Amino acid sequence: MTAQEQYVEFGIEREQYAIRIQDIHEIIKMQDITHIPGVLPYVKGVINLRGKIVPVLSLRDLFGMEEQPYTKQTRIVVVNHAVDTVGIIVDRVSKVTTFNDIQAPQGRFGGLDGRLFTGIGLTGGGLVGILQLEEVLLQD
Amino acid sequence: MLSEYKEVFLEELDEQLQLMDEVIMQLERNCESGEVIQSLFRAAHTLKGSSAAMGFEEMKRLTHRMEHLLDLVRSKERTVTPSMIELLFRSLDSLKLMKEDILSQDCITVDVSACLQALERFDSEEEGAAAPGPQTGNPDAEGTPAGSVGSGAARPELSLSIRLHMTSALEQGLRLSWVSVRLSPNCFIQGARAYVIQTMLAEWGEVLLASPDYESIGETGVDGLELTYLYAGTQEPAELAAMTAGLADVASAHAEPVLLEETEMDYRAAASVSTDAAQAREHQDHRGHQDHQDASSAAVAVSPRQPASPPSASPPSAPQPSAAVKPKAQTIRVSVERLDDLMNLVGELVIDQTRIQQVARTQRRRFQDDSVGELGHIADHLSRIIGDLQESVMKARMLPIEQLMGRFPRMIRDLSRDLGKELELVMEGQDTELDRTLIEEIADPLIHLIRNAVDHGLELPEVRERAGKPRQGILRIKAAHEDNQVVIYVEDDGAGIDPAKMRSSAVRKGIITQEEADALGDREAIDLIFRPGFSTAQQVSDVSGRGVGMDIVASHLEKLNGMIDIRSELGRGTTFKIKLPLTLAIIVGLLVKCNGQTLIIPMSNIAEIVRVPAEEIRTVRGQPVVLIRNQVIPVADIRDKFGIPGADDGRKQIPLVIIGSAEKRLALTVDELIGNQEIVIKSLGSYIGKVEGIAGATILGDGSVALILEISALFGRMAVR
Repeated sequence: MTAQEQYVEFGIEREQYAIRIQDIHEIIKMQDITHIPGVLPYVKGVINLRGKIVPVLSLRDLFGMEEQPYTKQTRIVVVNHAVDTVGIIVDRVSKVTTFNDIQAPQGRFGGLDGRLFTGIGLTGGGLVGILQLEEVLLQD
Repeated sequence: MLSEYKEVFLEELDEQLQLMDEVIMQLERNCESGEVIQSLFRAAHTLKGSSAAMGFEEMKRLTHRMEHLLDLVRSKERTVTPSMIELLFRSLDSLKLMKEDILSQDCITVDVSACLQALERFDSEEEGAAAPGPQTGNPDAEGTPAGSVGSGAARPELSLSIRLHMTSALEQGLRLSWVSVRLSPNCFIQGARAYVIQTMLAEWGEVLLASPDYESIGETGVDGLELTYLYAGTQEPAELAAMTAGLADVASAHAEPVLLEETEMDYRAAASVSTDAAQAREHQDHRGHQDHQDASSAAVAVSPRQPASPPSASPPSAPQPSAAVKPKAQTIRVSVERLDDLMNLVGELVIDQTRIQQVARTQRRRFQDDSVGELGHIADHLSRIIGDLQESVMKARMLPIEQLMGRFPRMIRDLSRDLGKELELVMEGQDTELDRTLIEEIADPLIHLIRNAVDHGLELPEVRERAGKPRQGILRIKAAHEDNQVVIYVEDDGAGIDPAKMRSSAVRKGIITQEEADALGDREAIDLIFRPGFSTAQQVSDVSGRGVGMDIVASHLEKLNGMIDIRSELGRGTTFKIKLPLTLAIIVGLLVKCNGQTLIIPMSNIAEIVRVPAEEIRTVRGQPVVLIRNQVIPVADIRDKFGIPGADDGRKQIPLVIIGSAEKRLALTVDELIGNQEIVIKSLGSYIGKVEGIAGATILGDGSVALILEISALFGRMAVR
């Protein structure tokens, strides 16, 4: 991994996370979500993304944080996951960025399992957890 | 490279095997019909050619033997006997097994030696017993690998390019004639003679085809070699005959006009021939060769080879085969995958079209502008076109159910013989079309129902006589379209199902308790037949291939969103009615609303929609039920099923959607009925995976996603039943 790779940085609560830009399909505003009964609680339902049915999940719920009402800043980060496209609901999307320094994740990061991250990016604003998508989207 | 053609080969094999099945049965009923033998011979010959081309040696040998035997029958050296029919059936079954082998493992492991021996025995018995000339009209020994059966008098096959030439010659107002010339036995250099004749003919017109070609005639040819030419020019047949007859070394000459149907094109032939094979063939045909090894084209040859006719009989006017061949619809073969892709694209269009409609409506409400009105017109027009497009694509995927029903007569014949039943099979509506995938899926359940009807429904002839019924039972299989769905009936006039016996049997087998049995109405008692573990079939039959019970039939139909109904009258017979959607990709769904959420129920799962006063829903042993047309139907609230919030709002009239899956029925209460709509089923994707009770989702006109209920799963969650 080169340090100059581009990332999209976004946040939930007061924490900042990032995903490699080539893993991101697009970023959209909040949409009407059709709830599906009987699925994992963090899977909020499905949306219609230009004719394609895309499941969306809440990063808050996934990371064990309390759900908050969606705001004008709420975004769905649509990522490519294997053959599927999955939307991730985040509180806000901050910017496209690069990290000069990426450190290997320690055992835990902000109360979360270190395996969820490929690394921790250091920026002037603080620490950014770079998501390991395969691990985050893993269902159990 | 073979795999590319394997598909074509298998398809052809399928066709030919089914044809043979039908024809052998015809032969059994109507022994000596030349036409029937001819078509059977043709099928065997076709398969011989194509299996040889594909390198399936065993299949080639078997079909070769069959062909040989049929040739003897055709030339009246052998008569059709029941044992021969049996043997033909056996050979056919071996061929079917081979097909399975090819499908599953790409090579043949079926042992056909017994079959081959039996066929050979038939041949040799014949040669010893009858026919003065042992080799009459039968030059194919092991020496000629392709086993060409006809001799020179045979009318050569017409390749596509020749047909094109023929058509263009006719358009130019030229005459087409078949010219046959028999060389005198003492002709010395036949090749040279043939060259002279061909050149002469070419001077008067054009020789489109020469068979055999002079180049291929050896110096020491057969005595009395016969040459056939296809001539296009201005000369009358009579003149041609007279002129050729005047040439040296010509024993006799004959000419006759080419029949119109012979020039007709068979595009299917063209399409089924693999390209390089086709090129090779064209090349061959130009040189006037008959390449018997050629596989694909023989399958649909319009003019089949004729048996060697005795020299005196006017050779080219041998029986006109084209008359026996029905004019075929012009077709091309398209892979199902492509049709699936097309269907998916149309599905996307259907979704967008409903959206455009909706947007146009909203705009009209909001603005008063010409362009808005125009948008509405365009949207309407677009939806008409898309509707037509969808129908055309759907039709392209449809096949007549005959594809499936064609297999039944043979199956039923074998079955009734094994079981000692006498029956008449009546089939109706074979031209009913349904989606190709559905035809494949419905085969097993249907076969099982038929097996069941013959085995358990129809009585033995003696029993029938005692009951005052004709010895011969009637089995009726009927297919039809009913409101955008396919219904198939399997009907017998047998003993019927006895509800009392069903009850006691179910109790004995521990499927239900005595109390439960006592509570069941006759109709529900009959429905017990679909319970797992109930099926009364003791022995495993080789007809359906596996000893399955009626519960498998039901679960098959559930998978297809189908329904099944039984009507049975003791002593009078039983009718099974299967209802299926026309296609699996685009369905008609009923949109219902529950607490603001739109849900879709597939129309094919809806038995009826009623509105009942709230007090008509009663509770029996803790289970809400409703009585509709003397049938007690359990009631469920759709909200409970899907965890949708909201409770009874104390309405007086409750809309009930009676849904069904296979034989089961359930009344769903909903908040609001919205209406019918064509919907495209989309999967929820592999991330979400399979969700219990949800068949998929679709996108509605307003762009929102609505879930499609999986009706069969709803029954699994029921407390009762």
